[in-house]
Parts: sequence; C-alpha cells; structure tokens
Amino acid sequence: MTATPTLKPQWFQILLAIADQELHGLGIMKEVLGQTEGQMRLWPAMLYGSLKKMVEAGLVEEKEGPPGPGAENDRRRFYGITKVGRDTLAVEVARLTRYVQVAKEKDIAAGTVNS
Amino acid sequence: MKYIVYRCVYRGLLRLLPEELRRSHASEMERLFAETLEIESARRSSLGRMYVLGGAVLDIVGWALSERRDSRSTSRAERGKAGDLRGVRQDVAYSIRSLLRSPGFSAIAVLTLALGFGGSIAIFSVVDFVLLRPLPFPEPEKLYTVWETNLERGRRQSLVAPPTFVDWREMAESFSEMSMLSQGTATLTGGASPEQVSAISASPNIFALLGVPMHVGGAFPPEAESPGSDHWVVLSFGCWQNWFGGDPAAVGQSLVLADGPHTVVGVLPNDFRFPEMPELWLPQTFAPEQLTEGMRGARYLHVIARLRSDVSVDRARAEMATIARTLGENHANNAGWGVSLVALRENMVVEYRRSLTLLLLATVLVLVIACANVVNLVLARSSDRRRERAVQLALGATGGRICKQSLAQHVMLALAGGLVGTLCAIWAIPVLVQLAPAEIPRVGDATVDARVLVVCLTTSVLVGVVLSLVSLWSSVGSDPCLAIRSSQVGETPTRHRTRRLLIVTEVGLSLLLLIGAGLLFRSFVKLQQIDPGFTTSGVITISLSLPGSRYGTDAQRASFFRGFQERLTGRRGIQSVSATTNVPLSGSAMSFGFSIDGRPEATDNEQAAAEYHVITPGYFRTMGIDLKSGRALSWDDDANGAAVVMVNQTFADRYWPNDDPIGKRITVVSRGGPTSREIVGVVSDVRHAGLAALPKVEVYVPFAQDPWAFARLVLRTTDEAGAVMAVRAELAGLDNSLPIGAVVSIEQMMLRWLAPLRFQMVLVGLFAATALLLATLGIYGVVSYVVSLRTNEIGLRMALGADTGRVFGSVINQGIVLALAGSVLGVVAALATTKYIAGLLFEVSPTDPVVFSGASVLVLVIALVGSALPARRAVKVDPVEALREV
Repeated sequence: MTATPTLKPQWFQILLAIADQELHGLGIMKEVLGQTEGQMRLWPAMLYGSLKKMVEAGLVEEKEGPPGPGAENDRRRFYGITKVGRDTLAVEVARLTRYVQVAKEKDIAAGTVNS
Repeated sequence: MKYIVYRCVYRGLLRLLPEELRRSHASEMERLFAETLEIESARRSSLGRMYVLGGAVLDIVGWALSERRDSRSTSRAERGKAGDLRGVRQDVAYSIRSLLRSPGFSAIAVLTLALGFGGSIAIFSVVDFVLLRPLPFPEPEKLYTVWETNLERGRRQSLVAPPTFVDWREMAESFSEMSMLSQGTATLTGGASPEQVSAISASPNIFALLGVPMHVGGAFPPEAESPGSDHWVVLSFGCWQNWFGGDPAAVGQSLVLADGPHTVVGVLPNDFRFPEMPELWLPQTFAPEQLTEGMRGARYLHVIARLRSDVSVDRARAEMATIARTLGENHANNAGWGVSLVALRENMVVEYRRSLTLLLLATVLVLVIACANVVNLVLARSSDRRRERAVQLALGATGGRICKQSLAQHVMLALAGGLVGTLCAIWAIPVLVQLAPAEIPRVGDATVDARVLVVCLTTSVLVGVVLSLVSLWSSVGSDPCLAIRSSQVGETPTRHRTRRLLIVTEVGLSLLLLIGAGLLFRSFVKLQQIDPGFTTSGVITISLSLPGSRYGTDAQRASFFRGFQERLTGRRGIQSVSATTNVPLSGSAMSFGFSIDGRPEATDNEQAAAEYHVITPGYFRTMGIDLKSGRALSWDDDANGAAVVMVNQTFADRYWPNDDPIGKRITVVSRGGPTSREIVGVVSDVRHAGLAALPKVEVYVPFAQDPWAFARLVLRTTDEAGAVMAVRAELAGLDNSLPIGAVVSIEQMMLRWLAPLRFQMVLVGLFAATALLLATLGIYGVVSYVVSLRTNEIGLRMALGADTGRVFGSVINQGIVLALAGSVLGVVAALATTKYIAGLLFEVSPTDPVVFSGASVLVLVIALVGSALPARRAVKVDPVEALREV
C-alpha cells in the first residue's frame, strides 16, 4: 500500500463535524467533543489555527452566518465543507474502513482483547 | 461582561500567536474561550474555570510551538527537532544564568511570590479538602440530610423526633436507605478500670447507606433491626488497633459495655471519615415506649438518607412534603412541621463555607498584591535591561527569541516562587490545622497533594506568563539605537505611570483586607464583652453516665446523684457542686414541647417547645446564674413532692409580660410523657447556645423528679486538680465500676466556642499585615526609585540653597499621594464588599466608621514611614557628589 498522506486527526474530526451542516467555532467544538465521546477537545488556538489552514488548503470555506441575537455587530463566522474537503474526507474514510476490514478478517472484534 | 479577568489574561496570551492568525481570528477565539469558560464553570465551578484557563494556555503554547516546528521543518528540514529542543534548553539555561546574575532581584521576587503562594496554597488545600472534594462515599451526591423544619418558629433545620423518623422510614419511597444517628458515649467495663469512649448509636443500616465496606468483618446483621436485639458493635480502626492489636480474630469476640456484652461484627477502614469520629458504632432501634405521642416533640436525631438512583431530589422533596402534611394532620406535635432535604456535604460544611471562602479570598488578595509587587520589580528591572535587549536585537536576535527568553525567565521565577511557597505551605498547613477549630469536618486531612500541586503549578505558570507579558509590553517600542546610545537608564513616563497605578492598587487592596480584619476584630471584642449569664472562671464539668443494668429505675438514679453530691459537698477545693443534663456552650441541648395550663391558646399556634434542663440543687449558685424571683430547687422537690419547674426570664417575659409567673402551672413533655408542673422560680437568661445566640425559652426541672441516666457534674473549685481527685475518690467509694468522663472547664468551652472566630480573625489579620508590608515595600521601592532619578536635581537644588525640609516634603509627597489615592480606592472597595461578611459580624456594621477611619489612618501612617526612609536619603545627598555625576 502506498503511503498516502493522512489527514491530521483534528482535521478529520472537523471535516466530519461539518460534513452535513455549517457550524461556527463553538458548534464545531461541541460536535467534535460529541462525536469523539469527549476524547478530543479542540481548544480555540488549535481550532481556529486548523480552520485557517484548512481554508487555505481549500477543504473548508467560510460562510457569513445569520445575524447574532442582539443588534450588536457580532456575526459569527460559519464554516462549511467544500467539494475538495468532502472528497478528502471520503478518501480518508475509505482508508480507515480498509483497516477496519483487515482487522475484522483477522478476527479482532471491537471491544475485546485476545489473550 | 462575565469573567473579565480571565478574558484579559486570555487576550494577553493571544499575543503569543502569529500576527496573521491573531488579526483574523482573535475575537472569535476569545469568544469561544469565554463560552467554554461559561459551560465548564457551570459544570465544575471554580475548578472548571482553572481547567479551561490551564487548557487554553497549553493550547496556545502548543500551537505556537507546532507552528514554529512546521515552518522550520519546511525551511530547514535537515536540522530536525534537535535544534528546537536545544533552543528551549538554551533559553532555560540562559534564564537561570540571568536570574543568578542579579541575585538580589531574584531573591526578593521569589520570596515575595512565595509569601503570596504559600498562604494561598495552604488555605486552598484546606478549602479543597473541606469544601470542594466530594465525600469519600460511593455516589456521595445521593446522600442527603433530612431535617424537620418549621419556618414560623424560626427552625429552619431541626433534628428529628424518633416517632417521626420511624414514620418517614415506613412511608417514604424515594430513598433506598434512611438512617438516624445520635451521638453519645459508652462505658467499657471489661478492662481494669472502666473507660468512657465516644459512640454513635445509629440505625443498623447506616453502613449500607453510606456504602462503606468493612476493613474486617461485616456491617450490623439484619436481626439488629428488631428492637431489643442490639448487642452488636462496630469498631473504628483506631479502636481495633488499641484494644485488639489489629487482630482480625476480634470479629466475633465480645466487648463488655455497661449494659452488657456486645459482639464485634466489623471494623471500619482506616480512611473512613465521617464528621463525627466515634470509637464505637452501636445499632439502635426504637421500642414502642419510645414512640409515644409525647416523643414526637423530642427532636434529637440526625437523619440521613440515600436517594434512590431513579428518583430526582425534587420528587423526593415533594414526597416528603406530602408525608409531613399527613403526619401534621394526625399528630399535634407534627402540625406545622415540614421536611427539608439538604445535600449531606452541604450540611457538613455550611457553617464553615463563608468563613473559609473569606480566608481564600484574603489569600488571593495577598497573592495579587505580591504579584503586583513583583511586576513592579520587573518593570524597574526591565528599564535597566532595555539596553541589554537593544544590544541583543541589534546583534540580530529575533523578536520571537527574545519573547521566548523572557517567557522562560519569568516562568522560572514564578515556578521558583511557587516551589518555595509550596514548601512554606507544607510547613504551614499543620500549624493551620492546629489553629483551626477541630469541628471543621475533614480539616485534619488537609495536605499538599497532587491535586493542590496541579492548581499551584498552573497558577505559577500563569503568573509567569503575566510577568513576562508585562516585561515585554514595557519594552515595546524601544528603539535599539536610541536605547544603546542613551547613557541614562531611565523610565518612560507610561511605565512610571503603570508602576504608580500598581502601588495605588496594592494600597487599596491592603486597606480592604485591613478593614475586613478590623471588622472581625471589633466584632470579636464585642462578643467577649457580652454577659453570658453565668460565671466562666473556676467552674469545671465532668460527665457521668449511669448504666441501665444497675441504675434501671428513677429512684436508683436520683439517689445516686444525691448521694454523690452530698459526699462531694464541703470537700477541700470544692466550693459548690451540682449536676445538669446540659451545660451551656457544651453543644448539648434538649428541647421538649410544653403548654400553659388553662391557656391552651398561648402555645397552640406555635407548638411551643422549650429548652429542657434537668438540674440538681445548687446549680444556679455553682454556675453564678441569678435567681430573679421565687425560690431555687431543693432535694425536697423529689418524686414524692409536688411537681415543680423553674423558667428563665425570656419565658416569663413572653408568657406573663404583666404578671407574676410564680405559682402558675405549665405542662412539660419529657421521657415519661407530659407532666403538669408549678413554676416556683425565675432565673436570669443564659446564652446557652453561644454568645451570639439570643436566649430561648427554657425550663429547669429538678433532677429528683426526672432523673436521666447521664449528667454533667458542675463544680466551682479553688483547686481544680484537688477537686478532680476528690471526685475520683468519692466515685470509687460509691460505685467503683463507674468511669469518670472528660473533665472540661467552662472556660475551655468558651475558648472552644470562640475558636472558629478567633481562627478567622487571626488569619485575616495576618494576611492584612502581610499585604500591608508588601504595599509598604512597594511604596518604598517607587519612592526610592524616584529619589535615585532625581539625585542630580536634588543636589542642584540643595547647592542653590534649597531648604532641607522642603526637599524632604517634596519626596514624601510622592508616597503620600499614592497612599491617599490607594486609600480612597480601598475605602470604596470596602464599602462595596464588606456587606458580604455581615453574616460573620456581631453587632458591628459592615461599614463601621471606627474601623474604616482607623484602618485608613494606619495605612497612611505606614505609607509615610515607607516614603520617609528614601526622603531621608534624599536630603543627605551631597550636592558636590550629585553635581559631579551630571
């Protein structure tokens, strides 16, 4: 198998979080926290640093969010997945699925330990 | 806006990020930080906020490092990670060298920080163990204390009467277990001489309820639940070690107590902690004669319960309210009484929460003041170091490198301060625990453990980051060329303004602490001036309890105490002797219902209960309590005589405001049910429950007419040791198998009662003094610095014939202006905040003018001293020397 460059874990989780919805910072943080069952907490620098790079890489695009609750000028930036992002995610998911498949063939069931 | 301080710190941290990312995303990052803060602090309160702040620091530092690594690996991939690590090592080594180069600065900074950290860590560890940690039981949040409550009569949390408890246990379905506890003593008679030990009588299911597994053996067997089958005992770990040498075979053996042998069923684990730590646990059930209607007024049981896992506390509250209503409809003594459920932990610490929070805030203020002082030092030093930095920049050091060095240096400084502070705290905690009132639950466990260390470490790092930011910020905008060229090392006006602002804040915060300490002190003095209604000096008390096996009848108990008292009367060193069931300030009290004969309406509405004391003749003389009218009790008031009672002044004033109570009759409930008694005398009020508590309605019943199995001997003596010897000798002569209980003087009880107040007063006073010292040092530093800058000018003025007094005055003014501004700030802050400690004050207003003005004057005087020293140096400047330096 050729060594395809893999996605960083936090990039993968962010793409997964916004795969079906546009979210703002807190939304992504909560979604990732939820989908990793509390295993991965994206702190602000990590989150926005990653988002900025992912926008530059064309995986994610910024969207103008709905106006905030008050009259104040605080629109949140929302993030959505791009076509490239979706394809990259799909490639990564396929890669992971392959590993799961191999593991299954070797009779390693989730949650058990072979002694 | 909430969490303003946290957000400011975070905003400062954001400056460590690359400019580009900061410009585009800083506001959103800050918002996300604030939102996380909100979520976590709702979940875990202050610890949650610490967690978020710590996480955010690591996040930013981690991100900044990974950015650097990325950029390096792309440009200089060949160098790899070793260079990065070498860089960090270099920075740390450089910072240590640089700190060692100026040992004076480093030592003062580290010691100042240690002073702030030491106090904070010590108090935090106590607060952590007492207030923040969950109780050491499985699912501690399911444990509740259940109180009877009657708001109309001002009884928010009342103990519970046995019949009411039995009804609750039968009717309530919201709890998996419910138990009662009552504290007492037991007498060990198996040994050479009888010994009195502390014991808790509890429902047999108590250990199942708490979820405590036994170290050896098991909990009480199920048959202990049936009345009369109570000959079992569970030992504390210490007791097992002492009496059985830690032998597991102790289980199944017999322990002979006064009422017969008890079989040891289990030993509690060594780390078992409950607010009360008795040596023995005895099972208790109630016989039908203890569950009479009259006993519904006898509220003396603690009740705790474990909520069923599928029931919410609201549902349990609703169910208990319904049960209370049903009981109220069926039993006169339950009418008007409700039920209150309070989390067990909350209940254990509620008395100390305010006091400990106050102390924690006080230490945090000291830490803030210490940090302000160190920031001041850093500012003064950074102006000296501007040239060094300029040289570095000129030689090609990058801004980033200098930032890292500064960060390393200040974090090292703060960590050193934290380390020394931790050592101080480790030393101080045992002292603190000694000083603390022993009643505070779990206070003895307090120690610097991993959890406390993590908080300390995080705080140290944060302080270091803040110091570094201040230092960097103060050097921003310094032009290397200018800095190198300038021969005079001076300060920019902005920086000097910052330093002055810091001093003003320091003075303000110290004054705030000083005012707090002053208020507590004044309140303490006021309390000590209160007349408790009895004499405190020269009176000792000795507890005695009579075993039911040999003193089963009223007559036996009455005759024992009468005989004993008669034997002791007139012995050397004993001026007078008597006995009572409840000594003032001892914490023991009994309360029973009563009604006034012929006037049912007087007490009907409020279901009156009176504090109930059983006394032997001579009690009022011994205690120095004044007889107001009528007669005192005598040995003739016995079972054969007319039933009589004495009441206190409050009782007389409330029910016979315009009439003489002597000769009137009241019906008082006791063990034997209600008895109608004639009032024969009125005595003055006694502050039974402590100096701050107003007297309640109280009745005194002759011992011979209601002889309880336990009492405290009260002796007025001129020779304490002699009196105790006499008591021992006479007791041995009367019944040599009875043990003599604890000997406690009324004076000791008073001291014990005052201990928590003294504790908080002494500590807040200590912190205020430390704060004041630090603020004075700050003023001294700033004024000295101004003097050093103005040496030339002062020399010139002196050479031109300026008056010494005016020079002195102009320097001193520098300090006084700062102190005045600080005092105004402090007074305003105190006016806004002292209302939160009003609950800790006694007869002192939180804005007491005496304290406010006294503290302000003290601060000003000390500021004067702090600036007089450098001023003296200023006028001693030799004009010739000063002018030569220009």
